[in-house]
Amino acid sequence: MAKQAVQLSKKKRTKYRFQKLKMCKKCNRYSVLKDKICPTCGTNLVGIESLVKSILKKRLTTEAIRILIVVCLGIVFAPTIKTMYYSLIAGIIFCISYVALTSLFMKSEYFHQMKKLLRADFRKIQAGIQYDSDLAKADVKEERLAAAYEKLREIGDFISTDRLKVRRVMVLNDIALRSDMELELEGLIPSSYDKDFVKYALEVLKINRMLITKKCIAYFIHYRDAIVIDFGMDSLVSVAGTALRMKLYILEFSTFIEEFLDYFPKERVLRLCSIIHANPEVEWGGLKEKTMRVVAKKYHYDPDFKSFTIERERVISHV
Amino acid sequence: MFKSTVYKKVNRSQNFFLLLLVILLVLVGGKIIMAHAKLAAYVEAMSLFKSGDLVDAEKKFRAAKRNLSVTDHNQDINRKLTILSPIREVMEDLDEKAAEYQEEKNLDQLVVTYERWQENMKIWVSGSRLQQDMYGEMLVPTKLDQDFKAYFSAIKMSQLAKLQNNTINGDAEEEKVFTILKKIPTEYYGGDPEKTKEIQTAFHQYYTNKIKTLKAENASVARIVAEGNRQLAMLTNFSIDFGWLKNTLDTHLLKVLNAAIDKKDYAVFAEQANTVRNLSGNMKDAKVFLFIEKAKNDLLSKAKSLTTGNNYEDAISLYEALKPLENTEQLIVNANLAWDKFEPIRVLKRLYPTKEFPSFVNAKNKWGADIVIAAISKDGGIYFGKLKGEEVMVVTEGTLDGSPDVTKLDFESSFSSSNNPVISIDAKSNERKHHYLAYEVRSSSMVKILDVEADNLTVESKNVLLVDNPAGQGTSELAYYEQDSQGIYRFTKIKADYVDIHVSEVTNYYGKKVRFKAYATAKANGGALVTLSETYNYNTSRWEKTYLLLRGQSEFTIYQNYTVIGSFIGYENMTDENGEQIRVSVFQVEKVDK
Repeated sequence: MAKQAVQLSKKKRTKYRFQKLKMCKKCNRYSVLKDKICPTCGTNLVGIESLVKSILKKRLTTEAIRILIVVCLGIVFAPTIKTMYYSLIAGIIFCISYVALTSLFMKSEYFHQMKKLLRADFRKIQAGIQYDSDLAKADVKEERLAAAYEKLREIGDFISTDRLKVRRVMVLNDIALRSDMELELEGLIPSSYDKDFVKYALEVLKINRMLITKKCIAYFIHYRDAIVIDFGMDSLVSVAGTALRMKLYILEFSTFIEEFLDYFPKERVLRLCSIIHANPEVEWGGLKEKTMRVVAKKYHYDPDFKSFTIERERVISHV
Repeated sequence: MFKSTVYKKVNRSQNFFLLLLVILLVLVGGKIIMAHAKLAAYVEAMSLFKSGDLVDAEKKFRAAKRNLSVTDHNQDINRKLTILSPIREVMEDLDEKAAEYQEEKNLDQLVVTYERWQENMKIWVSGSRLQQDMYGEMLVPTKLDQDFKAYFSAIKMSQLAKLQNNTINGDAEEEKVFTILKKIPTEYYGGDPEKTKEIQTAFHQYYTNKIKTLKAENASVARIVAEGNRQLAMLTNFSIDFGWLKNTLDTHLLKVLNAAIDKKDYAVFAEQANTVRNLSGNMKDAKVFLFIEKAKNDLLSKAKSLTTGNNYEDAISLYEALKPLENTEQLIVNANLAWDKFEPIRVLKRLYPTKEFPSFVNAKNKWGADIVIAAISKDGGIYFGKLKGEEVMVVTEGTLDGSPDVTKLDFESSFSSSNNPVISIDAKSNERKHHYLAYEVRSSSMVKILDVEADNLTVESKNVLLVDNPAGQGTSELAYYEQDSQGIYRFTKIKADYVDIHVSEVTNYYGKKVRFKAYATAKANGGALVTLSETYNYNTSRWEKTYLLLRGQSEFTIYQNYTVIGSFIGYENMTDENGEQIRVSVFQVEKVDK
C-alpha cells in the first residue's frame, strides 16, 4: 500500500498536560482532543481550568447557602422573636465573613479543587480518553490518517502504553513522512521489541537524526539481534553513526560505536576523530585507539585526516 | 457505570441546598408573619379581657396559644386560658354533644351530657367571679338550658304519646319507653313525686286500655291471662303498683269461669282455669283461685259418683275434661278398668277391633277371674275372656259350627265335669223351639260339648241334662243327655217329667205334672170321672164322693184302670148322678201311659 501524503497540524502545547483536558457539561464526558465542540451533542467543551473555576464558584455558593440554611433553621426554631432576630443577624455576619475569607484563599483553593477534581474524576477522564481513542480508531478505519494521528498524539500525552505507541507508529508508517513534519520518536519507544517501531525509527533517522536520542540508541542496542535479522546490519551501522551526534552519546555507547567503526563512512569517522581530537582530556578508552588504527589503516593518505595522523606520529616518537 | 462527575455532583448539591434554602426562606417568612400575628392576637386579647368581653378574649388567647411560632407571652396566655377555656370548651362540647345525641336519639348520652352540665355548672357558679362571668356569657351563645329543655320535653312527649296511642309493640318497647321516661331528668317533670306519678299514670292508662281492648274483642282467657301476666311482670319490673290490675283480672276471670261452669262446659272450664292458674304467681290471694279449687273438687266428686253409678262414660268424659286442671290419669284408668269389668265386651272389642259381637254374656267372680265374658262374633267366632285385676284379658277363641242364629248366650258351669267354663248358646232352630249348643273352655281351646235341638233344656243334675223333645233320639220326650268319656253330651235315656203320686194326692200338685193310676168310673163333661174319695155322711145319710175329671183324652173307657200323666189344672162345677151340683177337680191328661 502506498503511503499517504498528509499535512499534520502543529501539536498544541500547554504548560501542564492536564490543561489539555476538556469536559462536555451536557454529556458529562472528558476529552483530550483539540476539538472545541463535543462530537456527541454539539455543545462547547469546557477546559479543565474553567471547569474548576466554575466548580469553585458553585462550591462557594453552596457553602454560603448552607450557612444561610443554618441561619434559617436558627430562625425557624427560635423560641422567641428576640432570638429569631439574633439568629438572623448572626447568620448574615457569618455568611459575609465566610465569603470574604474564602475569597482571600481563592488561589490555593483553586489548586486544591483541581487536585480533588482530577482524583475524583479519574475514571471519568479514563473513559473520556478511551472514547477519544475509539474516535481515532474510527478515523484509521476511514483512512483519515492525519486526524487519527493527531488524536493519538493528543492521547499519547496522557497514555504511554505500548499499545498506543504501536498504534501511533503504525499510523505514521502509513504516512509519507517529511522533514517539515513535527515528528517524535523517543515518546514512541515501546518496552519490548516492535518491528513497526524499528521501521519508523529508521525512517525518522533518514529525515531527522536529531530525533535519535540516547533511549532510542539503547533500544537498538538492546534488540540488535532481532533488528539485524529484520533490517540487516546497515540499520545498526546507521544508528551507531547517529550516536556520534553528541560527545555524551559517544562516551555512553563507545563499545557499540567501536564495534561498527570499520563500517562507518569517511564523514562519520572524520567526525569521531574531530571530537576525540577536540577533547584530549576525555578518557576515550579503546575507542580512541581503534579510531586511530582505522584512520591509520584506511585514511593515512587522506589529507582530511592529516592533522590526526601527524599528531599520532608525534605521540609515538615522543614515547 | 461510573459515578457522576464532580461538576455534576457540585451542581446537584448546589441545586438541592438552594431548594432547601428556598423552602426554609418560606418557612422563615412564615415564622416571622406568624410571630407577629401571635403578638397582635395577644395584644387584642388583653384589651378584650380588660374590657370584660371574656368569650372573645378567650378566643383571641386561644388563637395566640395555637400560634406556636414563638413562645412569647405563653405563660400569661396559659394562665388566662386555664380559667376561661375549660368553661368554653365544656359548654361548647356539651352543646354540640347534646345536639348530636338528640339527633342520634341517644338518650343515655344525652342524660350523661345533662348530668355533666349540671356538675360543671355547680362548680362554676360556686367558683370565682371570673368563672361565674364566663359561664354566664357562655350560656348566651350555646343556649344550653333552653336546648336541654326542648330536647327532653320532646322525648317525654313522644314517649307519652306512644303509650296514649297504644303504638308500642312488645315488652322490649314498653321497657324502652319506661326507661326513657325514667331517664328524663326530674327537672323536666317538675319534681321527683311528679315524675313518678306521671309515669305511673301513663302506664296505668296504657295497660288498662289494653285489657279493655281484649275484653271488647272477647279475647280468650289464655290471651287475657298472658297479657295479665305480662303486665304484672312489666309493672313489677317498673316498680309500679299493680293492685288495680289484679282486681280487674280477678273479676273478669271469675265471671268467665262461672259462665263455663253454668254452661256445664267443663273442658272449657278446666282449660280456662288451668290458664288462669298461670297468674297464681302474681295473684296468690285472688278469689278466682278459690273458685277454681272448689269447682274442681265438686266436679271430681261428681265424676266419682258417676263411676259409682256405673255411668262410666260420663265420668271418664268429666275426668278427661278436668285433665288440664288436675292429673286425672289414674282416675280415668280406674274408671276404665271398672267400666271394662262392668262391660267386659269393651275389652274384647278393643282386642278384636275388626269384629262385631252381637251376642255376649259376662259373669263376675268365676273361674278365678274378677269377670268373665263369652261372646260370639258375627263371623262365627266364639270367645271366652277372663279379666282379673288390672291384668290383660286372657281370651280363648273357638269357632262355631255353622251359623247359628243366637238368641241367648250364658255360662253353664254345671255342664262341665271339670268345673271348666262352659258357654251355653241358645239359638234358633228349624225343627224345635231351641237349638242348644255348649262350648267348654279347656286349657286355651274351645270344645263343643253340646249340640242339640229341642224344645227345652234343663240341668237335671251335675253333668246331666234334661232335654225336652230333642231332635233325633228322644223325640217328644224328656231325654237325658250325659257326658261321654270325652265330655261331650250325648243322648242317654228318656226322662219322665212327672211325679208318681197317688190319685188322692192330685190336688196337692196343682199345675205340676204327675202320674198316677186311676179308675174311670164314669164319663162326664167330655172326660172320665175318677172317684177320689167316698165317705158316708151320717147327717144326710148319703155317700158323699169327690171326683177328679180326667180331660184331654176322649177314649177313656169306664171301669177301667188308666195310668195317666198330666196336671191338675183347677176345679169345675158339674151335675152328679144325683142331679146335684158338685165341684170336681180337673186333671188335664197329657199322656195315657200303657
